[in-house]
Amino acid sequence: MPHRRATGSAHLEAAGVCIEYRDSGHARDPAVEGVDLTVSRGDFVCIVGPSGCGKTTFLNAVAGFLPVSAGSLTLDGRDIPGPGPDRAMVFQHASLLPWRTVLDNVTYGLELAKSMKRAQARDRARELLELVGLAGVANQHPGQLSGGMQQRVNLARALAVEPELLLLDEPFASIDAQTREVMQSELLRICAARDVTALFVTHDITEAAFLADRVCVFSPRPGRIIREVPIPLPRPREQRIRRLPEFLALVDEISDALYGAATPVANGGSR
Amino acid sequence: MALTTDVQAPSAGTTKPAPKRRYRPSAKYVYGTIAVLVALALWEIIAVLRLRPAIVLPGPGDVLTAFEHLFSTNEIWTDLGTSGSELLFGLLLAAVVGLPLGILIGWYRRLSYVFNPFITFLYATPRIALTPLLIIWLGIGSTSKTAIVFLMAVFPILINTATGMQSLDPAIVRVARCFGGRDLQIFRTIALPATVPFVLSGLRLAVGQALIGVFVAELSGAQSGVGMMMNNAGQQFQTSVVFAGLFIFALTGVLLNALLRRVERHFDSWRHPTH
Repeated sequence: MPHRRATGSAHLEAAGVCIEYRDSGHARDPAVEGVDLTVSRGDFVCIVGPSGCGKTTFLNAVAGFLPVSAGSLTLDGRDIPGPGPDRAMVFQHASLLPWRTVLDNVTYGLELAKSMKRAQARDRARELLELVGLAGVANQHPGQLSGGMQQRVNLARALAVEPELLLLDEPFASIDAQTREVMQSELLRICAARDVTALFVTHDITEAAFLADRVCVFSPRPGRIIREVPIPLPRPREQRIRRLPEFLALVDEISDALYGAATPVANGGSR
Repeated sequence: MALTTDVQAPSAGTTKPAPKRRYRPSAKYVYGTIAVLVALALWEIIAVLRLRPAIVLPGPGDVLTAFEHLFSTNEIWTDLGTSGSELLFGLLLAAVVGLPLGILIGWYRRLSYVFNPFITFLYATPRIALTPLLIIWLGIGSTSKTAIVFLMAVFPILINTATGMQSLDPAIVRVARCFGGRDLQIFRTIALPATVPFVLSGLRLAVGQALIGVFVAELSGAQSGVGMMMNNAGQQFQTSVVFAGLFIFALTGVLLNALLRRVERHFDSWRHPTH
């Protein structure tokens, strides 16, 4: 692993970010308005918000799929021109290439980036499959794997390109509840092992509190951050912290911010 | 996509493919063979009872005799050669034209706008109805026959290929874009492999259409060919010979289909994880 343990320095910076969808002839339709957010290296930041609040839109802008219409969104001080190998995205659906073996799926990003030789890429893929606990199924096809396993492959594929920023868009939303908890622990273990900086979008408050260093609560559309809740729980985190009073208090704090915002009498003042 | 929770050790690559079972013909073949034999027996019984004269309904035995007759002369080889080459060249031409064109039309949206009116028109007309035109243009020889076979076979290939190219999983394409994948890379790594199954089922459809093309083309004037041979036999009430011709066509179709299925299985193994 390359050493990029420069924790603390700002990596992703959003200042007054607005993103709007423009349909031809229609009025401006802002999805995200005035988002300020700083993600430092090594941070694990979660974004929670009501559905349709623009949290995925924001993530897509960071990924480089959408332009920012106002404000600035920079990575290491530079604007984001488009998708790039420094960011990898993990979507809700694993979207693996069904005709490739698991191993060849993990090398896919490296293959597209043409950053290394095939043999090298396969070595790295094997290493990552080991990390996500799937070394035994390297030669199988995705159709033979369960949803949870496919999502692990997806994660390995994203990590293979050694992204500086890992973007996750509700990656565990379509996985059953028990597997989801296992996957959350796994994700934390993998992130710790790889020094990953992560921006994780979810609508699951408990998930956010369990994973994050910091939880950003989005308002309903147009989305902006109405509260940032730091999660000072020590790492590594085990499943049982979910039952600690501190954890439950944090969950309450997040849900207060979230549901307080959903009611007409919003307390959107301080942020 | 079926989600199987328990995963066995990878069967590919390991030398021993599970404890070897005693050879037992699968139910599929047992039932299939029995059904065919019963049908043949019924046919023979009806024929032997002579409910209808042999000139109307020959039995399997009569057909076999007709086969023997046919293959005792050299004429049948000319007929088979003619029809076979019409079928083969027509199909080959259809694949050579239909595949690249389908890929281009599927990949470039604008190109599909240009070609769609023509494809829709030709696909909607019974292409067999173009036979008189093609004979006027290309003569009565095998060129016009090959052209008809081509016209029959090219559309399933072209349309299936284009459909395959157009129905890529947008989520997978998005993943590739996320990794900075360029158009050409997406074409090579996603579009082409995803289209293979479509192409193969297009080819199988094309075989059926091509056989229709061969037969009908030879009806409207030909010097040789299995279709012509059947037509002549029909006019002379050699019913068993007509049946023989029918079986030649059927067998060709079945064989070509089986071949393509085999190819399909090879390319499609990821779809059938249980194999």
